[in-house]
Amino acid sequence: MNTGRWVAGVFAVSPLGFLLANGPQPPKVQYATDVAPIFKAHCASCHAGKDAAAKLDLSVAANAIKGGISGKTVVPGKPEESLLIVRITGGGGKPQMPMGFQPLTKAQIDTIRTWIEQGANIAGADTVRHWAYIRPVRPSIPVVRQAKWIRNPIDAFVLAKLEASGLKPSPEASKETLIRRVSLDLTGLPPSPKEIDAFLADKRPDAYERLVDRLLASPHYGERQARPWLDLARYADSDGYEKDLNRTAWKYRDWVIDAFNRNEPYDKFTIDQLAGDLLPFKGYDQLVATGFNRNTMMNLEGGVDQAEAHFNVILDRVNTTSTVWLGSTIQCSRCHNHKYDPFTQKDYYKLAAYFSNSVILPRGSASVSEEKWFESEIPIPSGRQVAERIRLESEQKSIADQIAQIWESQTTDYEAWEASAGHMPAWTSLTPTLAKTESGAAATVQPDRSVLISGNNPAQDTYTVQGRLDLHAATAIRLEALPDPSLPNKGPGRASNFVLTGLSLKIGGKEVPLKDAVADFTQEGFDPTAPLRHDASSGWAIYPGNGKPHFLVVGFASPISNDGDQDVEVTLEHLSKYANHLLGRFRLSFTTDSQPLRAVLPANVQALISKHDRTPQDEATLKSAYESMSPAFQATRDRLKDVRKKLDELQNAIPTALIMRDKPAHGPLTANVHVRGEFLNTAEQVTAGTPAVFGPPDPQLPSNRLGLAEWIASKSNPLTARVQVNRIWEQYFGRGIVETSEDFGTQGARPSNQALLDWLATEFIARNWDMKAIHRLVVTSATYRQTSSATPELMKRDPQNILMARGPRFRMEAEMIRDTELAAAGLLNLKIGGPSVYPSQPNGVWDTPYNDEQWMTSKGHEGLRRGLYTFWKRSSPYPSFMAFDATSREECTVRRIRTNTPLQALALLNDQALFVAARALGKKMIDAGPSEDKRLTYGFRACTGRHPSPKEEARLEQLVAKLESRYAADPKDAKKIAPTPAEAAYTLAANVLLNLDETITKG
Amino acid sequence: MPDNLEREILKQITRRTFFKQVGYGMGGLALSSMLLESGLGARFQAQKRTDPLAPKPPHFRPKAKNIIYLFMAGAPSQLDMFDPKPMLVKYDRQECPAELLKGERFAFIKGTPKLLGSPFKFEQVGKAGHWVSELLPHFKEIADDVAVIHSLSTTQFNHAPAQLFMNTGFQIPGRPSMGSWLSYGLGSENKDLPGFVVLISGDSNPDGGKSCWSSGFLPTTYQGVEFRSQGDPVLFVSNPDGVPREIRRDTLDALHDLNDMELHNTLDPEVETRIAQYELSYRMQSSVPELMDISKESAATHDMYGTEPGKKSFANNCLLARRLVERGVRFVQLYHRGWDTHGADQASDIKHGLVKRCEETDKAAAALIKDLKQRGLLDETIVVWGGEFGRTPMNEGRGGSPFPGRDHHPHAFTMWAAGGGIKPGISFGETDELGYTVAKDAMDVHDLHATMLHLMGLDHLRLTYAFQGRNYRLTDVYGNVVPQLMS
Repeated sequence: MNTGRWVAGVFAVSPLGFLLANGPQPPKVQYATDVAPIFKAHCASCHAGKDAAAKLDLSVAANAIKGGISGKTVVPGKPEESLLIVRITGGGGKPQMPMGFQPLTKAQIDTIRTWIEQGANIAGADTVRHWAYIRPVRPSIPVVRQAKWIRNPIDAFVLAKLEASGLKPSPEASKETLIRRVSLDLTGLPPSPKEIDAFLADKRPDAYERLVDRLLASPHYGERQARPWLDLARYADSDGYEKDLNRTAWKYRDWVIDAFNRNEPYDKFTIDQLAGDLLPFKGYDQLVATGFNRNTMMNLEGGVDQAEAHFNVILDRVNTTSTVWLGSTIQCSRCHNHKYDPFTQKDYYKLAAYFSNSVILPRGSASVSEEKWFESEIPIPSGRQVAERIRLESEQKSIADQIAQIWESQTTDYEAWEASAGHMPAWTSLTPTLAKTESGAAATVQPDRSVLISGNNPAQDTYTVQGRLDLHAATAIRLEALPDPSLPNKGPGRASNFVLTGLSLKIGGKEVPLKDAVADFTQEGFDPTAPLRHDASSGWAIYPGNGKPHFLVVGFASPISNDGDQDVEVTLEHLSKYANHLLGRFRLSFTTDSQPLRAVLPANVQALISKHDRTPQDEATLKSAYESMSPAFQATRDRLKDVRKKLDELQNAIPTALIMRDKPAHGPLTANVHVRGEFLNTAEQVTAGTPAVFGPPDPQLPSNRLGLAEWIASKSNPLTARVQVNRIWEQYFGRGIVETSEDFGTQGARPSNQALLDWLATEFIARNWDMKAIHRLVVTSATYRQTSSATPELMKRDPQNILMARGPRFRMEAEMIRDTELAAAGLLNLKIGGPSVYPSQPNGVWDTPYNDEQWMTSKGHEGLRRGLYTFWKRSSPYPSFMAFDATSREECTVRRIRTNTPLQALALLNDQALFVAARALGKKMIDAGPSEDKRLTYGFRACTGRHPSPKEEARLEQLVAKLESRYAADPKDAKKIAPTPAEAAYTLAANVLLNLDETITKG
Repeated sequence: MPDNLEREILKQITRRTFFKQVGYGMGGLALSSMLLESGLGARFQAQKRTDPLAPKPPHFRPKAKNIIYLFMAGAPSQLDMFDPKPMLVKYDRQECPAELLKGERFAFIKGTPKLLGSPFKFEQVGKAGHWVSELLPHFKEIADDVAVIHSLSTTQFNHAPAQLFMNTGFQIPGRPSMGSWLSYGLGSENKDLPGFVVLISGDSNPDGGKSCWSSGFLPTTYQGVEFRSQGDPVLFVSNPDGVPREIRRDTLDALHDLNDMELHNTLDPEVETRIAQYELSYRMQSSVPELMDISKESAATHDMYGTEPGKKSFANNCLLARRLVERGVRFVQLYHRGWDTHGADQASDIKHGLVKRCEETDKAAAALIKDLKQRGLLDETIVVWGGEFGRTPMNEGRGGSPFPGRDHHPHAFTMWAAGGGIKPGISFGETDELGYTVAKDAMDVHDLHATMLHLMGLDHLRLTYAFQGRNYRLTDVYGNVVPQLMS
């Protein structure tokens, strides 16, 4: 390294990523910029904060001077007498500091020594504002020697650093490499062989730029950009925590894709998501966008304190917002003032106040802690669905008109019905001679002829009751479910509620065909006729009508005549998935009435029949009861039922979106500070506001969430643009200019090239937050277009490629791997948007307590959608994605860590969801031509985008030959894979190609 | 300071570019000399770091090498198993004293609850005279090896948050679990198996879901790997149908050679790591099925545990746990779910549901301790037993339910631990006359974590990981080692 240069950028980056300051005759050494970073990088892990080792706190200048238990650290002007120098140089007969680490470099020690020599001045050290909180100033474009390499200003900034380090950029990557790299980067999809050929054939000087423009215009661009954004937005298809119920949230995901494709400016993109609901209403889109805030987890576990659950939701919004837009770890101030960055606990709760005004509605019963609070959810119909609804509603209207017409001929019949309706069927109770249960639970006949069940309480049970029928004829059977003090909450079920899933009846040993059934009350979602069909997936249940008597009347297909006493046997089945939902006490009766189902005239109708002075409302109620029973209305009733069913289906098919909606605010929004961040421990109240370190916001801004959003998205915010361009950079180069892309604070990494970062940030703002423009700038730069192959010299000088003397090369992310594998095999379904899908995964992976939701493996083409559309179950994320470092989306993730593990190898080799790609690619290889050469080249290109070298091809030929002979020798194994041994061999060759490091690497 | 080194190493590893220095010694790159020069590289080499899971030195001399954690998800009723309260029996079904209920939040109890005496007989066992109820007839066999802790408390009173708290030290998903911290801090002794294995029995996954063994913000290398009792024990470990082992070998040989060509073209050390990982995956394909096959265990062993090969049971998992620690797996966690005895119905009351859970676990847990002991493994293996919180001294009576049951109780509950430096045959901590609060030697979840880490040779204050601007620990900002529990 050239130690004679003392350039404006004081910091050069060593291969280890540490910051070194050096120089033979340095100007005055500044504590804040020269010394403190050394302490921070090498000493702070032990000597910082309250718990500092030896009570020496080097994180605060004053404490650094003061020293710890060993006394004063420095003697100003006398470095050799200063304990600090003694210890870092290994003097004093004690271990050299930093203990257990490599010593500080000579340059670092010299910097500290010079600082002490110059008086160990710390004036202003702790008040120097951290770079990230100062608005970026547009840097001038550096002058470089190798100017002809430069394609746009990015390159000038990169090259200036390279030249300062004595490095040269690498040559441009091959066209084959470039099209694959840029296609994956901009659309997340590998180029097809056809696209590669077209690009290779395009000899125009701007062929690459044209390619970039085509890719930027592709609808798959939005999908690619959405992927990392959905990690930031912690988007998932379930609530998280114990219940982890599914939620409908995909409209938000589609909004993100669409917003990227429309190239919505980043400021609007920000405001829409944070506060679209508070903007003047222009369309549903702006509400869907606010789903960003609603992607928080929600704890719906039984005994949860709902206020506390909502408190956690609000805090997650604060944390996520500050991480995503401000690159700041404001969440540290939940419990106390930030230890390192200038955020106070008050700042934190002032931000929380912005989010504290949601409309929240309770749902569910409070009696058993099942009451839950929900924020707003709205239907978002498509144009087609709106049209369909209008059509069905008008059909409904025309049926209503027909009903009115039919009434004109019904006067007499209606009066007759009214006269007879008051007459109730007479019921004769069965006297049981035997009552038993399959489980062995006790069934005791009571004096009132009812049967009471007690004892053993199994999950499911079937009861049999025998008796004698004392009637000469019968048309229906009635089952009364009766409360009893011995039952939970008086029953009538053994779980208070019950689910009857089957009822059958034998008279005189012969099965009686049953026709219809009605009940006085049926739980929503259940069906009183289900027991006739022995439908265990439904049944007759009565919640929330438990604790009271209910009855079910089941009509016979035809009346039974009874020539004398006959044996009756009734079987009652409880085979529902709801355990212990068994009848607790019940009674059986029969009737000879010709219209037995009339028995279930609702109580209010019965009352009206005997009422004299009826109101028009009463008349209408009676008439509608008549309509629901009279044969004259049968046809219109059926049609109406059909239309209503279709309307219901339509309603269910209309997707919903989780949105933000605020209550009307009276006065400023407030929140309480919570001591140590504890929910129950509240302190002073604060009003909504932005963190003090940024100064007061524009007074014109509203004091609600919209004001917060506009403050974040304003051109004067020092962080918003930097944080986003840094993430864009990270997407392409695998590392941000600020490596800690989630933390721009004092504990984060310093930018490796701040001038470049600030130039990009100011450019972003100057171009009115045009995201595609920044993407275009990066991918058309010479920096991006370099080959990623390293030389031993480069590996030595800059192994992590911080200086960008070569192109980026790193493993793809989980979803991109899946897409690439399926695309290489020609299987990928490129449909954009819609509900999340369930690609195949091993059985038994999705196993949630309490609910019986299943992984409904998507059929055919739908199971081959892009990874982005995979159903994201927080408690059970898609396993092969998790192997490749996807996250559970429980909280905001800025950077996915990239690991390299054997579980990845196993997933890529053996996961059935990916082995289908090997099968399909193997087939395609065979179809590519008769020669081995053509076949292998096809497969190799499909996976890597380039032609194989002769050496590579030879190795593959050798493999295929070996596999062919093995499978020819064992055709039984071959058959399990493909119809012929040759095809089986190519399937396995494809399996190898799909597992190549190069296939899953963007290089 | 080692934690800082670890962090630096990890940064390099996960940053992929420095992998050569932690590589597998294949190929020959100029890189290694550079790394040796760098000093840091020399340290790596000196410590024989071969991958992020390679064994790493602890902070100080450990008492234990492994942990088997028997997690009783749903929360067992300490008052019916380990902590008898004659006062509760005396005042059975009488209203709970009002002062206990002031400011109290319950998960499900409404109104003024009634006290509930345990219907079970208790006896004192072992030299320490541990109280244990008739529900656990096998406990006396291990009483002299076990430290029973009566004085635990937690801050969480619902299952998912409490299970997360017990596993990660924080009640919201997203933090690394104890097993992940240990893998991160100590690496793994076995190269062919993950360092942190999870085994599940009972109805389904625990309420906290896979977050209970998540690596949180640590690299996914450190997350718990669930060994399943049905299907592939480790996901994707079996070759597709029609791919016998020799064909897999052929394909891996070709893959090796092709990746090696790429390595020479790009000099990307990550390629070299990938080559090594494919070899490891091949070894796992035989080591995992061998591990899971308990059929060759002796009849006496099967008898002792109550195991039946091929069954999904807590007993089988206990035996597998022993086989795992025998093979150097650092942290084995068993989940047995179904302890949530509210008494809303018969199946979940303490006279039926609780009895059943005890029958499913008592014998096998005792067998595990005895078996580890006879094999000389108990000295280096901590076995911990417990749930996420305790259960109330009061009857819950949800919706007027006639079945005796107890609600969630965070203020006082019992766990036990044995082996690996835990003081054997002691009783620690006491609760008040009603079992409502801790009366003596209070210990919280962070203390438990600090103590377990300590026995494993790790200082909970120094086992840190920098994430989003701060150093995180398993013990958050709390935790004290409990010396009385250690021999």
